[in-house]
Amino acid sequence: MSTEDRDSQTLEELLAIMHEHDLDRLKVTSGDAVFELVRREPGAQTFVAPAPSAPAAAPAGNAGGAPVPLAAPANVKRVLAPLTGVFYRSPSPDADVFVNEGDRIAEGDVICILEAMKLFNEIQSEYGGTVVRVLAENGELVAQGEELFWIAP
Amino acid sequence: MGTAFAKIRYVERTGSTNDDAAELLGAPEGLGLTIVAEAQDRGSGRKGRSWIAQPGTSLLFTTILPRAIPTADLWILPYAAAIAVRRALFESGVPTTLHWPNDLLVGERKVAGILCATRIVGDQAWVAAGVGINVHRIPGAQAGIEPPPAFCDDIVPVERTALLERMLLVFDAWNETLSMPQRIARVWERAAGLPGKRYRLLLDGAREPFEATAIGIATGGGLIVERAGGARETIELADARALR
Repeated sequence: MSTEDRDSQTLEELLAIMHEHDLDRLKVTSGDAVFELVRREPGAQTFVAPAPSAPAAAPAGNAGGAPVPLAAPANVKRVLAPLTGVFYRSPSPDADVFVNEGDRIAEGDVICILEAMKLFNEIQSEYGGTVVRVLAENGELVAQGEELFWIAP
Repeated sequence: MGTAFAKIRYVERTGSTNDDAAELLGAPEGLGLTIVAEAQDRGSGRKGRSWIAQPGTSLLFTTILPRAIPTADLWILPYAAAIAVRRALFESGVPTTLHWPNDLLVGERKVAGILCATRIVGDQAWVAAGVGINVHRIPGAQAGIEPPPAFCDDIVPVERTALLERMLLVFDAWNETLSMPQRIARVWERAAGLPGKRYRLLLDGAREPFEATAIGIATGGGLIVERAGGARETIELADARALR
């Protein structure tokens, strides 16, 4: 059996363990090999139709064991940053966030703020639906075109 | 006035005219509306800094554009607003220079500042320009404001109502030029002494400032600078101070 086959078999076994015990994260070290499996954030799965492009777990051993970025499932609308700026999830630091993952939103709801130089922008959602994922970190500089949210109908 | 900016709402005191305008962005009753306040409790600048104004000293207002603009052109808005305010001040006898990102200076002192607010829905944006202009100097009232501000009165007596009227007439012309962002960027550069103006810049999140020569405005609104040695970069977010 080749190393690839063995790794693949190990991954399948680990995946089965994750599902059986409903684990979000699993890290196993075997000799030189490190297997780290991370499931999408809790709640996210509920809204995503079967999507081959979005694996439930990502094998790691890559830089820092970080989860591999996921491609948006086909049924999801992607909200992109309309301009470069700092991403804020709430209107002020002590206020509640506009939206959380799992929230139902209506078209036109304000979902975040992007602050550029001398330009304070409220971003309204073009889509109604459920917030499946929040992809940017609060207070982070995001570039124009970067994905901010996934909204499922 | 026969302009698209003829609606004016005057309030004695408010938190911030920008906050008041933000609630009306996209609403029919907000189109072309200017909100003027004698005093603000929560007037703000970049990163939540306060804009301090004693009652009776300043012209504080926010004007909502009478139409939506393409989101792709939004970056030009603060620059366009600065050019419009500079034009109105010039016509009132107060010549100013522009300072990145968009303050207006008399000599080296700030006489006016601008902060824009928008509401973006996909490829359309509803926009408002918030403007604060120091008009009347009241002896002693500016103590403690650092760096010390400039006032229109330092140059020539200016009446605030007349200045607002002039401002709205300029906005009426300015409204059309927003569809030409590159042209506005070039006008702004000339009025700000670019290329060639030296700045000391402190990038957001950085500890040490650096000095660089400002070259121009990039599409997207960043400031293109050249560091010692010739390396060029585009600055998106920073505090800036012009050097002599």
